[in-house]
Amino acid sequence: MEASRQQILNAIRQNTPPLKVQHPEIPAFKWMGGSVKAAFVQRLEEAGGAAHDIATPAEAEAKLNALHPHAKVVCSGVPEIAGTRRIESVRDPHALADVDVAVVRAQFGIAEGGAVWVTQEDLVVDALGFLSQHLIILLDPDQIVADLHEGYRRVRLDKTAYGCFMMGPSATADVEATLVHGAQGARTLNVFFMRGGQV
Amino acid sequence: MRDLVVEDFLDHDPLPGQPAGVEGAEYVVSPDMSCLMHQQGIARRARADLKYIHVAQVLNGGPF
Amino acid sequence: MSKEAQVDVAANAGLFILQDPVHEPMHDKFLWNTMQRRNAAAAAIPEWEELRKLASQIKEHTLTHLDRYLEEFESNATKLGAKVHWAVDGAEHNNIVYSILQEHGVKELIKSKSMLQEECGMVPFLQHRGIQVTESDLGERIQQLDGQPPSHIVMPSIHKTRQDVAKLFARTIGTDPNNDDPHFLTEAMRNNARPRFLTAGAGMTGGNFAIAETGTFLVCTNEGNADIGASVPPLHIASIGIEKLVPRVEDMGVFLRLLSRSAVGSPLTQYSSHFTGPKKDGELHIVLVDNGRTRRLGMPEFWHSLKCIRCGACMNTCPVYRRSGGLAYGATYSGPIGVILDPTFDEFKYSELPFHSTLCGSCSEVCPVKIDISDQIYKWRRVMAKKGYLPLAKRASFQVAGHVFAHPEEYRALTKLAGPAMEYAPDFLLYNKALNPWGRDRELPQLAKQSFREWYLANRSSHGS
Repeated sequence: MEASRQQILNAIRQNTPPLKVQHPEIPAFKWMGGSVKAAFVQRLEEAGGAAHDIATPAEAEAKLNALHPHAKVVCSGVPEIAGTRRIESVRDPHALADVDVAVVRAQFGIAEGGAVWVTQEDLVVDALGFLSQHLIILLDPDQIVADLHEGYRRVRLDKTAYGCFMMGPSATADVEATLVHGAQGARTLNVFFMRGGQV
Repeated sequence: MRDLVVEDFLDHDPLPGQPAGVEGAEYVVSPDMSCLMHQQGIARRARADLKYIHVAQVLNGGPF
Repeated sequence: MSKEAQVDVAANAGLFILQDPVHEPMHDKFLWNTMQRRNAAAAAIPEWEELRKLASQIKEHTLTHLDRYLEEFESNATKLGAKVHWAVDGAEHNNIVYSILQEHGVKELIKSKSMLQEECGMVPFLQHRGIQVTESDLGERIQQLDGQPPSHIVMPSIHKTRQDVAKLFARTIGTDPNNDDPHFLTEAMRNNARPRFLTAGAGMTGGNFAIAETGTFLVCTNEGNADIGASVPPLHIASIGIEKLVPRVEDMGVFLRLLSRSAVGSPLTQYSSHFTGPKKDGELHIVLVDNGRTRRLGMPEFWHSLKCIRCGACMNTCPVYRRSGGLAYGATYSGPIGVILDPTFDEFKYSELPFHSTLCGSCSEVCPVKIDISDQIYKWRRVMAKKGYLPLAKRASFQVAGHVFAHPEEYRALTKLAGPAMEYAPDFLLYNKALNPWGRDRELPQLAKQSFREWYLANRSSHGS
């Protein structure tokens, strides 16, 4: 296999086009979209998600029950919501197959996409974000950046094995280009605007 | 056979300032003769009132 | 060894169009609508053209320094715990994947969409060796159940009606054949695939981009199926073409802003997932694959095709593709990008593909990385003509046309005859479906009494020269 590696690298060196192109400077683009929170909410809704302003942990619990009255297993990774199971106690991803609602906190949001950045550290077990039927994402409304360029300045890819820009719930348009939500992952995604550190 | 491009020309929103009832494109201009022939053939089969002209006619002010 | 037969793409397209009055118009309409969403998304970003230029330049820079970036990627990924393998061709890729699966005693595999794995013929290879493989992307699963390859790189089953899917699911997974509601069908697939995620011993993905700076690779999906496959089974294997490299994390801002808008007109895919080293308690293998990419790098007229980020915009905008359906091309890659890639896999087999185009140039206009697709299509025609791959009828008629166009007096004499000939020829000849396919759906052109040249000489040529 070392031979293949060498063969490929040699082939590249032999075949590289003679004209070397410089890496361009990427400029900072001006955000013309107004309030980042409003833009975030609009894009999130266009992607099939929803956002709610939540003042206290009690309000968060109440909203969760209102959104998911029939949920049996609520697996939480945040202090603001107790849940019926704590993700910290889970090790095996397969143990999350019965989760109805997962609650995690995202590190920041991106206005241009209505997307949130969620990492392995936030999920504790990555599968929590994808096996649960519904997702609730806590987000500090002051932690919304304008565009992806800013987003990439904030992420630390070398510090986490998994990081995802999540925009709304799971979706597909493979059948007659008709949009359907809840294809494989979360059926719904609700963002709770809540500052961290409240218990 | 339909041509979505031809339909699109017919569907275009009226230009601001145009009198009511003037909807869609009147003229379709291109430098590509085979492209014009194909679309004109479809438009005429569909009895659409679109005129197809070459850009040389526009640049020279005629003939129309 | 006999040559593989030439793909008769025009005949295949004819079959797609003529099968009934439903399939082709539906396919045309869906992709037209998708293209319009792409246009609206692009128009909403003032810096769109600048992003395209940046993306093109970043890719050109990477491809002209590819060995350096591949080594950097390998080093960073390995440092963080990934195992990196290198495969010269599809066969080696398949063998590497199989031996990893064997080492771990894996009998069931679930995978997300990968055009590279399609290229390598990985699924039949593994299935012949007793490994059950499930496609988790809805469109790919539909195609897998139907024994067909994907027809579009973003929407693999877009050539099927909902009734087609309903009947297929009834036949293969036991659902109600009369329920063709897309919501019902999607839910049926969700429930059918979910147990397989939980029993699979390994999950496989492709890779949309690989970042050298951090040893990270991205997988972009709307369903989240790649994420389930990567997070549930303990073993994750990713197949990544060597041309997917980008140098730095900041480069991804440019590409992600272009990718989904170009593909379907949304700002992002629902999930843009970044994998750097194995997950907690997990194992990650990355297979870097050449399979003809280094050879393409050495083709001065065609190496820009390596910039492709697999968005599918060229397919959606192509009037020929929309009417032909992707399966007509008989190759892993279809549409305009397929036309310029496939001949590098088999020049003779795909020698008709460059002629399956109107050269309208729309593909070049929408390509987010500014590949000169239309120009390359034209250049491939020259290659095919030089190699003598054109059928006799085309060669003969091109020679005649070439002669006439090179002799203006002959050209003018012939056009002078054509006008009256068409006026007096009977309709049953002109519009005969066998003799003149043009007349099947179009009116024949009426030639003007006076040609533009005659008008110009009479009216304009006195105004200076």
